[in-house]
Amino acid sequence: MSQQRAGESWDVLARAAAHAREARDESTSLRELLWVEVGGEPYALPIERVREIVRMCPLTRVPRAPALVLGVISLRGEIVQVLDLRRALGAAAPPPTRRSRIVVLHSEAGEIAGWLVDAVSQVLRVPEAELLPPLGDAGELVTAICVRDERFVSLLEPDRMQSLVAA
Amino acid sequence: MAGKSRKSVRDKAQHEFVSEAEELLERMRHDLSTLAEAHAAGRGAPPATVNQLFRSAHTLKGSAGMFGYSQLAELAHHLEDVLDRLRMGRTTLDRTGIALLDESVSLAAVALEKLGGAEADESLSEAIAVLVGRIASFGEHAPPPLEAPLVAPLLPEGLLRALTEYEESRLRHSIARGSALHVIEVELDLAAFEEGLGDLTRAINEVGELISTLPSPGSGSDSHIRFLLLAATELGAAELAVRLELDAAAVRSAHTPAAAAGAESEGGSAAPREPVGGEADATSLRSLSGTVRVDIKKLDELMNRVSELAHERAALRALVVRLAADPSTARVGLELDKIQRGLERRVQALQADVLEVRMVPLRQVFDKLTRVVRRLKLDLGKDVRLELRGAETEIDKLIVEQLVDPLMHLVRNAFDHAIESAEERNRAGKRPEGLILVEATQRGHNVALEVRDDGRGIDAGAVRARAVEKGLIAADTSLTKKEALELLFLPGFSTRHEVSETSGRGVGLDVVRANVAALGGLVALESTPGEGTLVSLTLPITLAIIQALLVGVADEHFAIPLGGVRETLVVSPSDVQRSAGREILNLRGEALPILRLSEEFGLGATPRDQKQYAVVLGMGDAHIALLVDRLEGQQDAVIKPVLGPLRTLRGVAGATELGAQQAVLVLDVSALIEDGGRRREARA
Amino acid sequence: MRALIFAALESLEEKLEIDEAESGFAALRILPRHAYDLIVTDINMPDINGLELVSFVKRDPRYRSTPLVIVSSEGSERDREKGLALGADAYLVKPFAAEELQRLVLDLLSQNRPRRS
Repeated sequence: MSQQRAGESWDVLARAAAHAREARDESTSLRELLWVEVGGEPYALPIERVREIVRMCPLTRVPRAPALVLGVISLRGEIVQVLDLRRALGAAAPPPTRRSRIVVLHSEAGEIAGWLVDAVSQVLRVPEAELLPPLGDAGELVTAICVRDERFVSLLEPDRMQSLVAA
Repeated sequence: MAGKSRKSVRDKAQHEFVSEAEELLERMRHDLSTLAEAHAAGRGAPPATVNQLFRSAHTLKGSAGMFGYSQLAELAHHLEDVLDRLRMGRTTLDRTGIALLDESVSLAAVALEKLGGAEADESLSEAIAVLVGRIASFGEHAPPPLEAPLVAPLLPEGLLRALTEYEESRLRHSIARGSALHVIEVELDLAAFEEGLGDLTRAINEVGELISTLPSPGSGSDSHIRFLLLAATELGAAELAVRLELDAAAVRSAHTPAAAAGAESEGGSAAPREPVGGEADATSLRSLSGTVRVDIKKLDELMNRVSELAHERAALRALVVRLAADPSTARVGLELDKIQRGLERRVQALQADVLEVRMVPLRQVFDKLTRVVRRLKLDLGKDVRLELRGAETEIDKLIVEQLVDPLMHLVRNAFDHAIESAEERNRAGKRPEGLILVEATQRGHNVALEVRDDGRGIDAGAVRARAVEKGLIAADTSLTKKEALELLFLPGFSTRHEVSETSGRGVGLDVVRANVAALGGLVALESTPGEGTLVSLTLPITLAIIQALLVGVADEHFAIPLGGVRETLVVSPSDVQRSAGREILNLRGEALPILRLSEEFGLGATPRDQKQYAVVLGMGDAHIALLVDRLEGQQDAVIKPVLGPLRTLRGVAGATELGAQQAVLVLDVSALIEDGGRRREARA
Repeated sequence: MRALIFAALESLEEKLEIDEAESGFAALRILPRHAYDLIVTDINMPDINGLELVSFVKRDPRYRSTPLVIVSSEGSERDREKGLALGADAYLVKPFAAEELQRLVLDLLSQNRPRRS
């Protein structure tokens, strides 16, 4: 029985980014953020909370669960809940495509959860100084905003995301 | 009863001591042979080995003393002395010394075995006395101790203050040898420091000696931890840094050797290098306690491996069936099939064995109950006898640990609320001494635990009245006695107006039920006013690996632990009857409440004219019929928790993998039985 | 030895939640997880020694005021001095009676008004 999951090298990239951050961590405190696309808008997640990124795979539905919970997947022997980040952000939630990805995050306390996004873009390096306070209507999940390629990228806080469901 | 259990607690602890002592002696043998080898090869005794020998003797001395094995303790004490002197460098080791140590360890093993009855054995005492004498005189002929050099190296104060006597001696020793001392500072991840530290330690010991390791809080005290390592080596600081793959800044020199004083003899004497300990040791250590200590995590791992093995075998079988079916490969197929069947039997036996290892007797929980009752008797002055039966009944280790709280609560409840005062009992014609009986029996895949008292019982009418008072039910609701008693499981319910101190915060039966349900079990209550009350718990014997029945509903699949399945049958729409507003299945005269899984889980209504299957679920005496669309076979499954922010998955006990990395939810039989039992209305 | 201490503490009427660490390193890992009311350590451990653990505990603001008991043999008087000097609250000498440890633990716990029952 093969345990290989056709994953990408994003987790390697994320770890490399984390290492690079450690090595270079001097006066310019740089945040490393994972850029994702949700409902056509760019969002960012702190790289140190990203455990891994996997392609869309068969989801097992969980009966009587809130709409936000899409189901569970089997991740290297662990069964992990997958939630819909698009729904969480109030965006349109069409069926997943080839570009869709599940970003597995871990909370401060170490609990993990998978979040469905429409696409994963790249790792941004943003100096702390460039992270601005969010716009008024940004919603409770967004903790900061930065500008990249003339777009506003909203930085999300994983712990707040998880508490949307915690029951 | 109390006296008996006290003895059994002591026996158990003694058991553990014997087990631990055997391990220690085994380790000492191993270390001694390392010493012997080193000596035979002309090398000095490795300080770490000597230190470990010392620590083993030290631990043995302490434990033996605590358990009254005074002769063994004395022997260990003298052993410890010699080893201490050895590790401090005050004595050197030679062939006689090693042989002496060897004999001592053997004698200690004999002492352990013979002194099980805690009676002094004359011949043994003599043997020990003789050996002790020899040990003592061996020490006396030792060369004079090392002179402490007066050099005060530039070591951080924190490091110096935390050096044990032994480490100090190693420090002086290294200085005297002319080694350089370096202080290495590293900061590591708190979650994974052992690996990094292990690597560093190994690397240091390759080029010198690691004398001390001092931890201190890291920069992010929740995420990092800092270590100061004191290393003695011939290398210079810069060189050491390179060897350890660290920044040059991480290694600071604390002491550079002056012109080396005369090299001192390190431990191996230049005497003849004959191999030591030629006498084969005749007495082999037969394990006295017959137990092995295993980490439960390792058991889980083992379980997983075995389950993976079972999967592979199943895949193999499928292949073999195909081969057998094809005429061109039939012969090979049949042969393979025979082998495959043998494999199947062995894998099943393996699974059963591994499962057994996780099982522990309920005795440990029962012991706690005894203490609780003893305390209650003192506090409340009531005369109550606690009778425990079935302590040897075994259940999964993890379940046992979770059972303690609910059981203690039930017993406290019985003691406090149920058992009446002496006068009351007298008036009722009962014996003055109240009785609480806790009995455990294994019933197939379950363990039945009963807590029975002969107290005042519970008046269903009073419960009902109280529920109306609290607004939990309408005043005109009609309830059967059973239903009235069920009300007691509602949160915040208590038939006493004051919350009694000994029962805690008035934690109710709702918590007990929740705890037991979390383990996949059921709680039921029966009572006869004036005679007593019975609380029965039914628990699965194990949580870990189960045989599961796979079922299909709509386009979903689920797994049901076979332990909760009584039987399966085909059901046609005409078999479903209605009674008192519910759907019922008539099974050989018994009316089973029906639970339609597809509707229960919101998966859509099944067309009513379709053939379905009923899976009869049962736990203890409660049964229901679960209707599903398809039966999809059986398989072994390791139940895993579902990770994620959603905490309560009603009706789901966990999940497992269906071979091809597809997650399948495992249903919670007890929750389904409860839900099914309570359904009053048929679903539209 | 650890098992005996555990047994002695576990058999107390007052139900204590006890976590065991099989080595100094394990203790370092376990400590941040809970706010412990009391720590009992040996001197002789395979990786770091008890004095080093005490030193670590006393340095960390989170556990600085947690009562600490060291358990060791009577041979190392030096170690005992150092242990107390580093800030341990008590130094029990082996072999000791289970009751002694129990009394000591209960004393130290009541001084600090334990939150655990």
